[in-house]
Amino acid sequence: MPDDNSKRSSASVAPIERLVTQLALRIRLGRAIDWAISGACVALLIGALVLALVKTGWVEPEMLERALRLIITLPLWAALLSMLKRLDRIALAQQIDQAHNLQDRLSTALSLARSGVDGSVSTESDFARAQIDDALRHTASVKILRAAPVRRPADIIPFVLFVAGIAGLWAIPMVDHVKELPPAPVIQHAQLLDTATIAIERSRLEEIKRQLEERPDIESKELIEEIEALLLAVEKREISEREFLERIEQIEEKFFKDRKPDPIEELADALKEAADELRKEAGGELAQQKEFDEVIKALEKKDLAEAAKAMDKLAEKLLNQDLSAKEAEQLAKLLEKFADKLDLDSPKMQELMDKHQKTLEDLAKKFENQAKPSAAEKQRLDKAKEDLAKAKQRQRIYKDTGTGRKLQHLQKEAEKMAEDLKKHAEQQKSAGKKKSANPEDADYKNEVGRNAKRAASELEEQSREQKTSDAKEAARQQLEEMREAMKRSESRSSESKEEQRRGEQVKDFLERAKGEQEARSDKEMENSKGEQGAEQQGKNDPTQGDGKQQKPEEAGKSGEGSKGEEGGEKGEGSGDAEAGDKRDDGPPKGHSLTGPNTGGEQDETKLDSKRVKEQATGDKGAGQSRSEIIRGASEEGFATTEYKDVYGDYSSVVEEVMEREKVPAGYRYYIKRYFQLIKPQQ
Amino acid sequence: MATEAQTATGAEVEKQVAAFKADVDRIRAEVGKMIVGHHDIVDGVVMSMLAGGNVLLEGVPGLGKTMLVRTLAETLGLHFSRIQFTPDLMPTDILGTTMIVEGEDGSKHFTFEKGPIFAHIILADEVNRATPKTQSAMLEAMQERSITIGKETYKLEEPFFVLATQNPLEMEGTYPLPEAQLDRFLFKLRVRFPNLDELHTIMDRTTQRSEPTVNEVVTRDRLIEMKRFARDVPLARHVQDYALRILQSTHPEHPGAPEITKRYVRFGSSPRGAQAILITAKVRALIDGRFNVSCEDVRQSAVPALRHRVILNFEGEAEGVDTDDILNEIIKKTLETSKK
Repeated sequence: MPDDNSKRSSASVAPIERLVTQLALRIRLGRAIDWAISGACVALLIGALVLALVKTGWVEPEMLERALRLIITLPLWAALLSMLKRLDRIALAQQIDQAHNLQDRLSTALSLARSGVDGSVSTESDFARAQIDDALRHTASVKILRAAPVRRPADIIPFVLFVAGIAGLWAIPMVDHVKELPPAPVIQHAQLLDTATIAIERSRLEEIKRQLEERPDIESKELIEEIEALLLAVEKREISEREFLERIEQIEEKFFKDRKPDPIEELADALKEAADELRKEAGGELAQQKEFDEVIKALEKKDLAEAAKAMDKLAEKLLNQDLSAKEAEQLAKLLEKFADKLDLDSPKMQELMDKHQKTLEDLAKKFENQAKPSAAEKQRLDKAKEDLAKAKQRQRIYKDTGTGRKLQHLQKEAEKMAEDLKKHAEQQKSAGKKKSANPEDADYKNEVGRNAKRAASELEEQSREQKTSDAKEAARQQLEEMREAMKRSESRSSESKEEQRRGEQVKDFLERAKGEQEARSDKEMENSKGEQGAEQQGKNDPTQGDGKQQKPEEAGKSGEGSKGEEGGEKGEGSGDAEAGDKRDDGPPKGHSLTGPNTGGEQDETKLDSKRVKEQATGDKGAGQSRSEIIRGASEEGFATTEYKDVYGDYSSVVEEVMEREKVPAGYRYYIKRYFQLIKPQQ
Repeated sequence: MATEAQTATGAEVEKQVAAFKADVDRIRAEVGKMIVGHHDIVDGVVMSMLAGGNVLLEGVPGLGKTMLVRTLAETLGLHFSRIQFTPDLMPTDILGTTMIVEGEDGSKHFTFEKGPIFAHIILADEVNRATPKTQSAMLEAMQERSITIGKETYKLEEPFFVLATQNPLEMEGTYPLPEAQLDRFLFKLRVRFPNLDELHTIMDRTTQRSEPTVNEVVTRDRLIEMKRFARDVPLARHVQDYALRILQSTHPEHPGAPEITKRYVRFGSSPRGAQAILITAKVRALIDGRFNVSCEDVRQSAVPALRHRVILNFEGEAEGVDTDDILNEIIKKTLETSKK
């Protein structure tokens, strides 16, 4: 029975339920739009942010795609979420009541119908039924649109603003940092090589290029290009000193690090040695064979190109001119000897191997006697073993590589030529007896000529290789010189001031030493010193005392000079003492010495000990005194004697004098100081 | 068959509702003959009477309070008595007393002489001038609808309706009603001073030779029936929820209470306040010809039902805050739909 009632109650409020459902749909739709707009606002805000970041270059443009996905999906999710949100049907009924001024009729009817199920209020009561009927009567007048009117979404204004903002942002052109950035600062490094050096290096490179024109070599070409690029960078001041050195090291490492001994060079050495020995052994015979002599001379100079030319001439001669049997025999002998001299085993390397072998044997013998060799000895033994192994390896390479083969080839050529020439000579002899022409003779001659031609072309080939090798070596040397030039340039700049000062002093000194100029006056020297800087004025420059030694008379006058003069005048008294026979009696009165135990009269209160007056006296010898000899030498100039040798004489004389005579301690100090200052630099 | 029966009963209810409305309208119209203006007071009094509650009228003397009560009694054909409360008024003066009476045969016996409380409608004029003892005697009768003298308990006749008045101006020598006793009044109505038009009408009516007369429009039995019928009005859960949320908002300790409550209220209303709201809302719905109680009914009943049940704190008293303002604020802040 209650079930029937429930069903009946539910059925009775069906129109109200329908209205509520319609309203619910409408509200869900409106809410979905609201939420979608709100979600779109958030998405647009994020999108605007991403777009701004992309436009300003903070974020990659790929992020825009993700932002776009978010812009699309976020409102949809928001709408979906709003659709799923639960709605209270009683509240919806209340909304209808309020919209239609129904005084909660529909909501109460719905509530009563529902509460009837749970039994709190029975819909069986007359009043409840009447109430529901009353509510149903009012449903006809209900308009859902009035209950949920179409209204503007709450966030429509921000949405429009965001859309406009995005559109504005989109329209703004992408910020181009490259255009707006200031030009990159041009780094100007210090001039590592002066213009003249660069020009010289360039001309040398051109020379090397010319050498390579005949036999182009990719590696050499690449090397030259690298050096040219380096020079260009130096010229433009694009690289620092460190970079310059690093690049030189890189080039050296790339092209010269694992460079094996040059076979052409070794070939030239071997040929030179053979040529030298031949010259010693058969110099007279060589002089008679002019063309072959030229070949040998060229080989002595290691000039394979020249040797090739000379060999070519010899071949021409053999082909075109008739050689007498004697000449042919002589040439054959020379060629034979030359072939014998060509040692396939490099003598130098053999010598080196022998040396290492001997060292090894010596050490082995030594260790036989010693139970325990020291660490140093052990190390030496290991090194000797290592060196021997290296030498053997090198010898093997020498044999295996082109050098050995080429030498062997040349040797065979020479032997064959000698053999053919011998045959030619024999046939000529026999032909001379028979007085008839032998066709075989012409064949031998031609064969010798062809052999000579082959040898010439062989040598020419080697000369071209030699040029390539020379070019590489020249390039390597050029790199080394560039490094040195850079260092010189650097040291010049740092020492320029000091050198200027020293140069001034040396110039003055040399002029006076050569007697070209009188000693400069105190004032002139002061002026000169003033140019060198104030710091030099207080250093008691000993060169001035030296100047007084040249003119003792003036020194004496100066010794009686006014009190209170400082600096250069301090050395004057000692100059008098050195002068010996020409000095005034007693120490100079005008000294303002403030050094230890100098005994000046100017300020006795400053003495730190009792003053002891000493008089330096000396006996005049028969001959010239040392000082006179030195003075005479100085007047003659130092054209043939190096300054450091002169200094040695000077200093030894002074040491002798100071040992022999009683020189006041204060004066000793200044003398020693003076010689310290003029000590030649290494 | 069942459906037809239901339809029949539904129509019956509709008729009863219509009759209820018509009767109330007649009462209003009849009272309106004597009482100028004060429609809200008249409605409030009628609603309280139909809801079975008592009313505390607050207003200065001379505003027609006694006239209203007498007119109402005449309209309903009920016995009316007026008690002027004074400090020397004794409980027996209200309730009645046992007296020795000599019979015809000369024998003497005790006889209970009923006091003025034995009436249908009581006007307790200036109730706050009596001592608490006297006040409590009457208020006990209001609550229990019976009085006990000695060993005898006397049931008060239905309908029993008390209209108490108090003067808000003259507070000296008065005994303000305690909160517990105030709670026993269903409504507290404030009688305002009539406006100029109403005053003209009052003057016109009271200064003429012939005074208006009032007829009995509703019998006592009908009134009792109407009272019972009002209780049958169904109340939807959400409407009740709304009334209860308003009630909760009068409590400063309640989390959902508005700021004004928390600031000025010491004690909120008791559940009797909600009972008063809902029962009068039902009556109001019927008076309006409806079968259901609406939230609007609740709102209309809330202020008169709660204004004497909300106790202000010191700050509220000191600042002269009116409980009506607090209640209006609460109503304004309380949503019809629960957030649950």
